[in-house]
Amino acid sequence: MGLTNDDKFPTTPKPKYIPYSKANDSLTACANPIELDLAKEFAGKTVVITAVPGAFTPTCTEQHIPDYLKNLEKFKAKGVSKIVVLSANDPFVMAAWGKALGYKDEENYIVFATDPLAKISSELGDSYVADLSSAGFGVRTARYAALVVDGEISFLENEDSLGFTEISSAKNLLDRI
Amino acid sequence: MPYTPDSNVKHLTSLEELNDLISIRDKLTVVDFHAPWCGPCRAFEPVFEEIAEKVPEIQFAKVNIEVAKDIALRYKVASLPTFIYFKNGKKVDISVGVGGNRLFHLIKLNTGLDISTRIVKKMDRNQIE
Repeated sequence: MGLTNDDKFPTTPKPKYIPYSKANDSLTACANPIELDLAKEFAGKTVVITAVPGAFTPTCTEQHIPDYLKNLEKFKAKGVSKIVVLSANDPFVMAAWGKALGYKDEENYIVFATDPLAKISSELGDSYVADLSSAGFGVRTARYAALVVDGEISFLENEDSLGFTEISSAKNLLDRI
Repeated sequence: MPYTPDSNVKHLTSLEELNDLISIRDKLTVVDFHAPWCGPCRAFEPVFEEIAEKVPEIQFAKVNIEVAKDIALRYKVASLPTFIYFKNGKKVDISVGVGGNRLFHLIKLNTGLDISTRIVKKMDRNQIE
């Protein structure tokens, strides 16, 4: 059981994130996590959602997200209005990770947001969450990628055993738009 | 609305209170969005108090985003402090962070007043850590 093409991508609970801003990068301001209104982001637009088991973990940091960051202009050219990276981490970790990966653009075209307790991912189906409790991590999101067009799933697939393959690669998503 | 006798800064606790304040015509209202855990906000507090005391031509207010959650949600405040400038019920300007005298600059832009000469206090840098 799980969601598939033409089903609506869940819009609650709302992910939280800290949009990048130069003020947050200095000591003159504190970051305050705000909600990402997925319903509003989805309406009439094409959005890429990708989930990773953990910010700063090796595969996610070294391969998965850098692949997307290299292709931002290609996503824009294909009409994707936003890329949302989800993980079951807290919003401060996600924001720091985005900066560590090198994304420092106030446009916030790609946002690094939380999937609180992997609740959104669990609505997609059992294979979209990963119980990493035995590793001390708790419940996390699996690695997956989705294309959401006007709120409906047009592509959704997860990776087997959390690895990064062409399934969640930028190229695969770009080919399907 | 809470009233602190020695302060000219109004502490807003609801969207209704904010809307009432900014509806006063032709006066600029500067609202400081802050939180108790934010170092830069605490460092700036004495300066903001002095400005409110010495610039009666402008209305000054503060919103603690932990207390007035409806206001924080409405204005999607993602950095603290955030200063939102209102005139005739509408948001006319916004600045984020405490650096660079931006507050003075935007007050001048929106009212023509140069208040920098009235203000003596500087930020307490120890609070920022």
